[in-house]
Amino acid sequence: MSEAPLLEADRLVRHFRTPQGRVQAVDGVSLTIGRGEAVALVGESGSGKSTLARMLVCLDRPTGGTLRFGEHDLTRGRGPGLRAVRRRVSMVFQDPYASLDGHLSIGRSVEEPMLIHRIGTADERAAKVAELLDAVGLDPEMADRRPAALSGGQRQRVAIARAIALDPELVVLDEPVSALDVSVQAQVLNLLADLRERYGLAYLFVSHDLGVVRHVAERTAVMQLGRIVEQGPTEQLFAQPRHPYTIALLSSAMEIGADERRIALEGEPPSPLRPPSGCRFRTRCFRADAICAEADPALEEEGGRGVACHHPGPLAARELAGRT
Amino acid sequence: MSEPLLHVDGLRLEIATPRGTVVPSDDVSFAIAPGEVVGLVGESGSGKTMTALATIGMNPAACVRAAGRIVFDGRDVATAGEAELRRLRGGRIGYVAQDATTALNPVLRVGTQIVETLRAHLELDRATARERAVALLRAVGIPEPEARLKAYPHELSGGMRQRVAIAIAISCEPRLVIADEPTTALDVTVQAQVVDALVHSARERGAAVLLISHDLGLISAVTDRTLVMYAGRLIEQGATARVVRAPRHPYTAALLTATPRIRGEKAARLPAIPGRPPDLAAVPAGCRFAPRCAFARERCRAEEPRLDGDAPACWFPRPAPVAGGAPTPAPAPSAATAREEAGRV
Repeated sequence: MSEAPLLEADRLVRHFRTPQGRVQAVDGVSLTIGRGEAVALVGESGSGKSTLARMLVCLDRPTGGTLRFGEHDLTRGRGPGLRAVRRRVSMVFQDPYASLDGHLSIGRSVEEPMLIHRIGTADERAAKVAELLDAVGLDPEMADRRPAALSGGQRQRVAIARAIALDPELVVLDEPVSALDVSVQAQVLNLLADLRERYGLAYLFVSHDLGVVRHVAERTAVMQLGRIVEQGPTEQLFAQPRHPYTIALLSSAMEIGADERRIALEGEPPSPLRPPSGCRFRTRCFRADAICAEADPALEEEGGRGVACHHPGPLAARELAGRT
Repeated sequence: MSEPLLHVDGLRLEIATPRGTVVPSDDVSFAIAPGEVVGLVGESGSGKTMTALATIGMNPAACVRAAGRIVFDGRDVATAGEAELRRLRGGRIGYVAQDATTALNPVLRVGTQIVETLRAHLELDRATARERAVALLRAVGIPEPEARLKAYPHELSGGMRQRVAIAIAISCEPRLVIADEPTTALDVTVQAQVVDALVHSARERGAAVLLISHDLGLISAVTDRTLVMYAGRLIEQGATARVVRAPRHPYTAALLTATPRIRGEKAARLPAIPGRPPDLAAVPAGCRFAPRCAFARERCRAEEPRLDGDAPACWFPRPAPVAGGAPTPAPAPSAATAREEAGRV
């Protein structure tokens, strides 16, 4: 990536004040997305991945750090740059049943972003709606139907058509296929790949499903309790994870033909209200020792890969011994 | 197989809707042996949940059993009265729902809920029941079980709540535990632990398990035998290792290849199954999978094939594996465009 990245988040922070105390949902995350690049964010619930995604599309404002999109500074989440950026970034949500307005025809839902940004005449917009529905594999004749008449997979296609209506450069997809059945999920993943190639889209793909992430993303960042603990090219990261959390995550995926000796994590994910001292993963880590409780490991980058751990490295045979 | 614990024979369920009669379970037959761990896999709308609920007489009132026999432990469930069914459920049959948040009573402590179940089904005094409750929580991998008895459900994480639900399901030494998508709501790292706790604790008590899931990966990790359901029919069944290594029905094979994997070869394009499952009020003539099947021929659209033992419900099944032979690789269906996959309607 010689040119400037499309999106650049630098030490982004988002704290929430709750009656129980301050939650550090996102705590110093740096992430770049290049033009046309597909980046995945994986992590368990509570890892902060959705909060991060929402900040990147200006649905939420960071409490610290900086966020740039192209030449625009979005850190404040307002100003003249925001409206321009909102045309260039869009989002697809997890639940296609909740993200579409049930009162609007699907054609109208797809047209709406163009109406809001006052783009084209009524005829031009109608033509564009037909083109978009066709692009996502729906019959343009369906434009008059309401979401209730559609299946989950079809609804998600409508949500995707709407997300690309303004020819964005970046689409943030938050668990876009996790509500879909396997057979339909594969169709939508193929569609996303086709659209990316056709329109030169960049994706930020948020998911807990590692198989899906491996399929769609060139680069993957693993989040745990508000931090990125490991990141790198997807194939390398999956083939040779170095952070114990990534190792455990990959090992606990129940997949056909998988090694039955899983690295089971001890205990529960700690509460984001009271993260452990030092490394935030240490309470569940099979490599934790004294230093992990004292010092918070920084994300050390080397050769396009980064890992935040005092004891990084591939899984040793002795670590697997005696596990079931 | 010895005398089966559960025998479902020719089960047909019907739901009257404005669109017509929906048949979530159409001539479904299967048996579960004592102590056997069986997986029932299918996509949403395949009828798997209704079928499982009907086996314990818990199908909703609108879902009527139109035909078929269900025999559990020698007793006919279909003709059993409500009182007898209530003794069965919770006593001889434990049930774990998808979402423990709704299954547990939010205003009662976890311990109270387990102790009550124990006392309702087994005549135990309070102290003995409490001791049992502690042992049960320990059996499903809950740390500090004595302290956890005093917790309310909301004070526990999702994984811990689901473990409590499992503890209740196995509390009265059931002979069968039915679990419907017990880990779908949980994080990946917790899923494996919870499903292991479920199967392990049931096996230790000699209970059989019917595990319902859309996830063949999960089913393959813990079950002995797998049943595959599509559009209200059982279409394939067999030893789990065989079903996932050498599926014989094109639907099972397609499900396996459509799942993106974290290991092995990465396909540039996922072999997706075109279209979507049929509306259960209007299933197609012939084989119900034929409209989506890459291998369908004329006969498939005219006559419906039926499951027969390990022979799948398919006129042109993939070959049975030769003993000790290499697994048969799935043939690659021709590449489809996004539009073809959407099965435009």
